[in-house]
Amino acid sequence: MYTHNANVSIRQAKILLILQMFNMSMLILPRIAGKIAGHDGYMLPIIGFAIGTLYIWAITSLLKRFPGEGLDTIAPKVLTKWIGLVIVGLYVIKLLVGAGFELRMFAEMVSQVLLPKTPLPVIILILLFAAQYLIKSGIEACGRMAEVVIYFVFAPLVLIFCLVIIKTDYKQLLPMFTARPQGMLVGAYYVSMTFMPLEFLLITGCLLNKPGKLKSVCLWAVGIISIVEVILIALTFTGVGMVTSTKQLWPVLTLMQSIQLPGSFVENQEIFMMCWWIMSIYMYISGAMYVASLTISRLVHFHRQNVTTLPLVPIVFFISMIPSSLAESYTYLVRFNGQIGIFFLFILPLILLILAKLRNLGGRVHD
Amino acid sequence: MDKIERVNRPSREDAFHDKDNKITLPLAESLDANIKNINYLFKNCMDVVKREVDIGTLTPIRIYGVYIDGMVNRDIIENFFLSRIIDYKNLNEERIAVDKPKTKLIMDHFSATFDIKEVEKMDDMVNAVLSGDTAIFVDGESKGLVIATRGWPTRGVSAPETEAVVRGPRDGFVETIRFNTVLVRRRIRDTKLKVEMTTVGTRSRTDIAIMYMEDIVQESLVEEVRTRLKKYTIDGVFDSGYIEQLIEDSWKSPFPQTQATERPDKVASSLMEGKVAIVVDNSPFVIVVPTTLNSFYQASEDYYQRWQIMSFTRILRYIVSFLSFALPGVYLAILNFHPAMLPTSLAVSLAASRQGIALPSVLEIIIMETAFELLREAGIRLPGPVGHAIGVVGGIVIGQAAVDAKLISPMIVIIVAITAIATFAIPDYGLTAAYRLLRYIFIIICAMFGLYGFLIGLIWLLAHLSSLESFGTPFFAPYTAGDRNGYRDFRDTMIRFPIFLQNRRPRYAREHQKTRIRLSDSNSVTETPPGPDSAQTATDIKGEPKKGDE
Amino acid sequence: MIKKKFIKIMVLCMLPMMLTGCWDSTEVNSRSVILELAIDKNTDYKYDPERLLDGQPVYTISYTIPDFGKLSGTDSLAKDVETNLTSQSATIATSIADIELRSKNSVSFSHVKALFLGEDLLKDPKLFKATLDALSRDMLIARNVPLLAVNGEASTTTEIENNEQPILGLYIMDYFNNKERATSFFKKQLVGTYIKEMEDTGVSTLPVFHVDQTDKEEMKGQIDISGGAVIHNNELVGYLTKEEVRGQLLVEGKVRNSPVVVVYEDNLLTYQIKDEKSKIKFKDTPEGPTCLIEMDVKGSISEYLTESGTNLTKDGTIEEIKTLLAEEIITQVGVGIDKSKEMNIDFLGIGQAMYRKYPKMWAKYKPGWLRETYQNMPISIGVNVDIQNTGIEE
Repeated sequence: MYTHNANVSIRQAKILLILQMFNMSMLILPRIAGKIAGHDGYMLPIIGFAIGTLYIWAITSLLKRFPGEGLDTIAPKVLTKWIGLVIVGLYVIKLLVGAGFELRMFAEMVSQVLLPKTPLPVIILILLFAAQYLIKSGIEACGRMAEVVIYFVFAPLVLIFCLVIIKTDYKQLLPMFTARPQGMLVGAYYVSMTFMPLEFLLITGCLLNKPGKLKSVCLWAVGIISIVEVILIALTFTGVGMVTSTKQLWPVLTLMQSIQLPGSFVENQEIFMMCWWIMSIYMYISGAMYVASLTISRLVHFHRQNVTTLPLVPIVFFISMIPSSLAESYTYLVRFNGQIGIFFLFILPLILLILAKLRNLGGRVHD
Repeated sequence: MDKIERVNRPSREDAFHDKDNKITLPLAESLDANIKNINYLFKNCMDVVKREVDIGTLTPIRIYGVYIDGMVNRDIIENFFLSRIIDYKNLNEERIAVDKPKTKLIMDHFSATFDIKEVEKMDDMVNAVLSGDTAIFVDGESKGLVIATRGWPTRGVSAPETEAVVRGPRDGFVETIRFNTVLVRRRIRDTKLKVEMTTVGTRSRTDIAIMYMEDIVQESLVEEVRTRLKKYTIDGVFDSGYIEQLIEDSWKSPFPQTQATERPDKVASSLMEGKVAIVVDNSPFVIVVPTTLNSFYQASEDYYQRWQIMSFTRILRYIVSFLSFALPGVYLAILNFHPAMLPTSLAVSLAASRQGIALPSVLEIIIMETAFELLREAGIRLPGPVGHAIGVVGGIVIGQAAVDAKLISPMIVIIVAITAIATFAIPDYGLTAAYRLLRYIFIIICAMFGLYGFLIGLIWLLAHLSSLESFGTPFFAPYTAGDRNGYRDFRDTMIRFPIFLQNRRPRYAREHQKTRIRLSDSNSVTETPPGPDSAQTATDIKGEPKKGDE
Repeated sequence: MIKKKFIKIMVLCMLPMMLTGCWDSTEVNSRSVILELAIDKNTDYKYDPERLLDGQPVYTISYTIPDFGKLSGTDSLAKDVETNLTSQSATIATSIADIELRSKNSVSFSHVKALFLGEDLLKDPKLFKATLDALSRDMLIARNVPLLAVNGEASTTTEIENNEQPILGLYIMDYFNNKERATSFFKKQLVGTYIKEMEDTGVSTLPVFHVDQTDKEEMKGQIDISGGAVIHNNELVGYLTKEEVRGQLLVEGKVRNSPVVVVYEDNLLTYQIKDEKSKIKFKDTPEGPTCLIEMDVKGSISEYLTESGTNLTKDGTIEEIKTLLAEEIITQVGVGIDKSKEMNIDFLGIGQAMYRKYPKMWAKYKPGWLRETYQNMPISIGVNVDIQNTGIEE
């Protein structure tokens, strides 16, 4: 009964991962998919799932080899102490920068749809303080909140999907199989960047109460997100049109606006649909900040781990104010995720795994 | 001259009391010393009755009785004790041999009650007097006698005022702790129901009973309850509300983390689920721990009526509680920030109704809400029918007058009225108070940031509730961590499953004590609906269907 | 302790931001909700070097500001139920600024119910494209707002006095919300769908709102929305009559509740189409592609004069009627196809259908589609009529 903030259950971990992956990249996904793969854009997440399994394999194998440990102890062990610390420092910086850019895009969207005249710093700060309030209570609170928030996020989404799927004109998805294979691979790589929250597991993977099941948790989460992405891209192509999707910054937002709910009482329902978006982004931002604060506390061996949460708020705030406009923040986000994301998702765990095997560190890998 | 020592304790040490206000005077063998001590302790207490009596005339045993007038049942002292002494004096003096210790003698021959005991400390004697018992000092013995004679004026068992039911028992707890434990005992006739007594409060010495089912409850929970009760040294406890606030997990939260109930059937069923009940003397509210958000929405009547209508009522309660804190805020947000969401006809009529209104919408709502709160408070203080009338009529009249004076728009009256009614539909009063407070916070947030502010406020609320725990149980259980009990806890949340399907106890109970209902003639926990088993037909011995069975 | 101080300082710094007030909050009765918008090109416009760029009157935009008090029947001090303001400006944004100078409330486009586009505007592709970009870039107008082409000046719509509903925007809203009406004589077009079609194929049609200058007295008080305006690459290329639009809708499979009249045994017989589906199939031949449009029509007979000797329930009768109906429907479709070939614009979506199903064939014929292939392509129509109900009389 008394497990204070020690670990999360499997169900909570699954739901937490799913909610964290449901972030801003989802909104711009149809645009990228349409640009790179044309009418076949909705097939990209299927290939993206395959790429995602590679990431999962790399990360879970590394964590299995060093049970109960996270990147902050593995890296100094496998690489030398100072290089390891530098890597962990870069990891923390990467988390915070990613969260900052994501937050900026989100604030721009809120500003566009909900609050045109409110200054951006206010929108960003409110969300940051709310995130800090959650993460200072530890990962167990994050897990519980995810379990409750999932109802708020997915129930309306599923309802809208059901309503819309019946009425869409599927001819918009034709013709099939016209894209070039290398285009599909590049597109799938960009799509797999939505699986960025997997890198949080490098630190929090040891907090699962049954560490052996980490792989199945990840596969579940990645699978569900891939299915949701396929449906979302298909619906955007049919609802908004493939060509239009590539020209809009946030095609999913346009889709939400153009959905005609039958017998609708509410007009302009994209405002209402922002609800679940806000909740989902919140889980991602708070997840990133939590992992960053946990890493710092563990590195510096603080006794109370939530001391480092509050100082992160101004750091993320200043990072999110770096881009000077919407277009710039969009470019920063896509480029940052696309170019640097792969490093901690796949390259670093792979390097650590190979080096650990060569130097014979860590426990035996149970297959 | 003694220097007055600054001591940060609820009661100070002096010549006759220790630091916990317990009396340190010894129980002397000499009756005169005891009489002197008693007179000193009870100086200026005119409601204390003291009398010296001699038992017997040949070799008199001097005894000194002390009790508080009005707190005792004089029948027991006078008819079942004093009269026997007087009879002895007058009639039976020769027949009784004086060969035992005097206290034993008195217990065997002169008290016609079972509840008499020997006591060795002065503090216990005085405590007994102050609790309504009679203390008997015996000359020549360093022990005293305490006869249970409690009989103060008390309210009879009546229907609980805060939790009324249409169908179900109507007895509610009273202020006497013994009656309260009896009401629960009547419902659980099991030796495993344990009643541990302790006292809290150095000056009030309030009796507290901790009740639990020994083999169902988790031992760590009972241990935690005991520890937390001892954590603070307070001078007086006057209601279970004090205890609740001293033992709860998070004092900053507006949400109650323990449940206070007036119904014995609710306490009994909670005990059977593995919870612990804390009964406090002088309080008709019994505390049940641990509690979750879901348990606040479970009323006792839910289990006595049919499951379909009660499931519907439960879902309604959840919706209504969301409305009670969110409706004014959402209305403000949509009206002032996002009128694009309203259908055109509604937007037109709302805008029309706001023509010429003097106040901005935020102030309108805050003023009307405050007015309703004032009416509610006034309604509680006023006696009887006048109070109810003020509540209803006042609301209507004030609302209508304000609309006519163009202070507020008619829609606000509707919103505030719906919110007020929604608040009353929540079964638990403590939770209602939390929602009332939250409403104002949401109004302010929504007035500043619209729907975005509402969602951020909702997120704050959910984050707060996610980190809240009650004696180790997460507040959101079973919605979170529901897989701990195999998702069976969901059978009693929004939809109340039929009784025969709720066959396992919730997460509070011990690991191997989870079964609560099964079919009588089977060895497994099967889930068959009640009623005649339609798969079988009545057959006679030869295996042919019986005739005439319509 | 340091942490507490830090928190206090942060809160103190945040307070001034809160005290400056809610930036977005406006009382609902201090917003002017525009219900319809009429955009015209200013035909008298010549570039005036004396004025700044933003003062050049390129557009003529008419706004209708309703008074909510009068609209919902309560007392109000306004004179009329709606106030019409016209502004001549260089862009949409400058016209909004102009209007806000002249009206007491701030203008809000969230409830626009109809967008009227003048004929001259439609004939100027650059200006038309700029208009739509201005409206959709900043999400000023929602993407499910109906677009209507006006065969004259759009600002004349504001002068129409309608007997049912004084505010034209609300009339249009109720008009388009009515799902019971037959879909046959005009095709409802939304901003979002228009943009999608224009970017996919370059061809789209808008329903036409008729402002007939000649018969003004007769037509006064009545509103006529029928027919279509064909837009090719953001330029108006021609008008369609309502029969031609019906042909287009039949090919697209969107006709509902539309009557078809044939003569059977010297009496008029009315068949009501309840639902129809259409499939376009192609075959590649050495001379070029051929097209076959297969249609499935379901409906029931609603009017017929039975004389002695004729009985609708007889098998043979039904078959004959079906044949007659099929021929009539083919004629109706043919009207649309002929117009499309005459205008040389593929507004029936036949090219798009080829692209969807046979992308390789489309790649072959796309370069010369409008020059020769479409003109010469034989289009045959096959109709399968299903009579579900003949009424309660025989």
